[in-house]
Amino acid sequence: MSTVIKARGLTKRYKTTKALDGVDLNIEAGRIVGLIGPNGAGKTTALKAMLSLIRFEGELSVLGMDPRRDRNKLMEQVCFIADVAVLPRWIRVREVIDFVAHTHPRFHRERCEQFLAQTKLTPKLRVRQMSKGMIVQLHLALVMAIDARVLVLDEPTLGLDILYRKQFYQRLLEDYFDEEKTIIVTTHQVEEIEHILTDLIFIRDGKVALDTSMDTLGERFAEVMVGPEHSEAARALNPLDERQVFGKSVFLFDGVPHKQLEAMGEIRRPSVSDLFVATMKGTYA
Amino acid sequence: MKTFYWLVKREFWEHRGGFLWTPLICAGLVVVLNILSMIAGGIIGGGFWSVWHQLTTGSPQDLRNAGTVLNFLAMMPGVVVSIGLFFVLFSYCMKNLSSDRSDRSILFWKSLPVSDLATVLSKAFSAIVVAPVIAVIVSVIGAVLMLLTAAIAASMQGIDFGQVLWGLPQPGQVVATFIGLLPVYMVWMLPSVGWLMLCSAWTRGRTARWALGLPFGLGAIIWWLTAMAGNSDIGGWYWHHVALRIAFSVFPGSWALSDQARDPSYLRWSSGADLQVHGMDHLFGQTLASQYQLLLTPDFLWGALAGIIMIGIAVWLRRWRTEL
Repeated sequence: MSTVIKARGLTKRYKTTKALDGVDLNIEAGRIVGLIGPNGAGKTTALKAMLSLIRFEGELSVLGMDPRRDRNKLMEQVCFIADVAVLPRWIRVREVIDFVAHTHPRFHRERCEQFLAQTKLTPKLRVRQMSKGMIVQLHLALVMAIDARVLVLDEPTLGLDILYRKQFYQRLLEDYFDEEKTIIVTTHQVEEIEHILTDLIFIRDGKVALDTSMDTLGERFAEVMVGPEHSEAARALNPLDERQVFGKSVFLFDGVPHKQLEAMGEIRRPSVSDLFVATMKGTYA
Repeated sequence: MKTFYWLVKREFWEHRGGFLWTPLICAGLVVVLNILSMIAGGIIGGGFWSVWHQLTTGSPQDLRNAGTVLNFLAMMPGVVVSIGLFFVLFSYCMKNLSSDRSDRSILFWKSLPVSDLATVLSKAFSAIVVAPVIAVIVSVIGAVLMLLTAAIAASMQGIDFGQVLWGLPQPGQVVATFIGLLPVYMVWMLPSVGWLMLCSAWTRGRTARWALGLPFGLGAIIWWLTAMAGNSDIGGWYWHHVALRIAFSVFPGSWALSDQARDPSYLRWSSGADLQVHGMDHLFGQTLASQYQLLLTPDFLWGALAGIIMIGIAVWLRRWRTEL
């Protein structure tokens, strides 16, 4: 498998703060990576660096190219949905398809029209007349018709209702994603994309707090529901987190062998959101 | 090349109102007003109508006078279109690199494999070529409509229709002038387009403050300092060649205020005496030729150079400025 994105010591300094502070990343082809972090952690900054929308320090290569130098070539292979609000409000469906068709060498018009045929969008409709959900349908149809290798999604479903959100990710999985492609997505609605992710990266204060594949996540982390009789023993194993449910304690362990835990209770794979909350404890304090 | 064509087309889609409808409305207004005044004149009498009557005598002097009046009529749509074009271009250049940053649609445009150079050049091209060419086409159509109206009105007065349109010394003169002056205008407006677009690429909102405030504020300071020193030449030079130039030279014909244009050895504006001697044919031809000579004068050359440099800086700014 080839490395699609490689970062070493990626740093972005603003006047008073560091949005990114020496981030190291390796993202392989054919993965769906969730880039998760609290507000202001540096997720968007990292994506912007990959897309060469901001200057940065450190080493970064996307598809073997330096975004700072080869932006135009890179953008033929990298697609990007920022959030639903970025399609120009004056443009019509017909116009935006025409424009992308004639400026993007890897765009397939028929495919885009196929996707749009499944929606209520009509060629004459302007973006300003659409609902947020329709705008994201249009944007997704455009992007899915581009035969790119990396798709970057920055909060793509923000402000959409659950029907559009589900449809969005379902479309991506069914009609777009394959082992040649790589998707990087940031979102706060972790629960909704948890099951489609192959990798997980937590970012906190500009640093990588966790970088794991979902497979190893299950081996490394464990959630155990422990009765009062074992809770002292559990605490001795240095859990990441402890919370009370129905008089029992739910512990979250990092790197404790499952054999050791089995005696205390049933082991489950922790949900990404529980893991996230445990990892980010004290962020806003 | 294909990308550039579509980038320009994109600008036209977005600014159809300014580039197309504004000149159409300006010219249309003049033509309609003219028709109304012709009708009113036909009912009430007087005004221009005395000129048509003079035509019937057919003396050369009468024909020349009638020609002057017709030229004036034919110019009118173009003059109003020019004023409209100024406002359209001034606001277009001041917003074309900032409005997509303020509504964040720049993130969409930048997700496509289109270079910043091509994007900025397509916007400059729209301002320098697309909008003025449309304005000239509309002005020419307006001129033809004005002449036609006049001819029809004359024929209703019992004057030969053909005589009015073709019997005059210079029917296509105004049209030739509009088209002929286009290249001069394109070069002349470069520093203004460059400055306004530079401000548009640079600012974080409220572009006008920078675009006008900076050169005028600086001008006030220089003026005051030099006046205190008892010599206002530098202040005057700065206002004339820098402040007003970069702010307003998108105004069509404003090069009439350049140093050389005001120098009678370069350019002769039609005066009554010249008309008597040479007739308007000769004069217009000469004026156009001397306008082209202006292209090689310092005002034009330095201005064009400054404009190109400022557009270059705008390209560079566009590369990294993605948010307002």
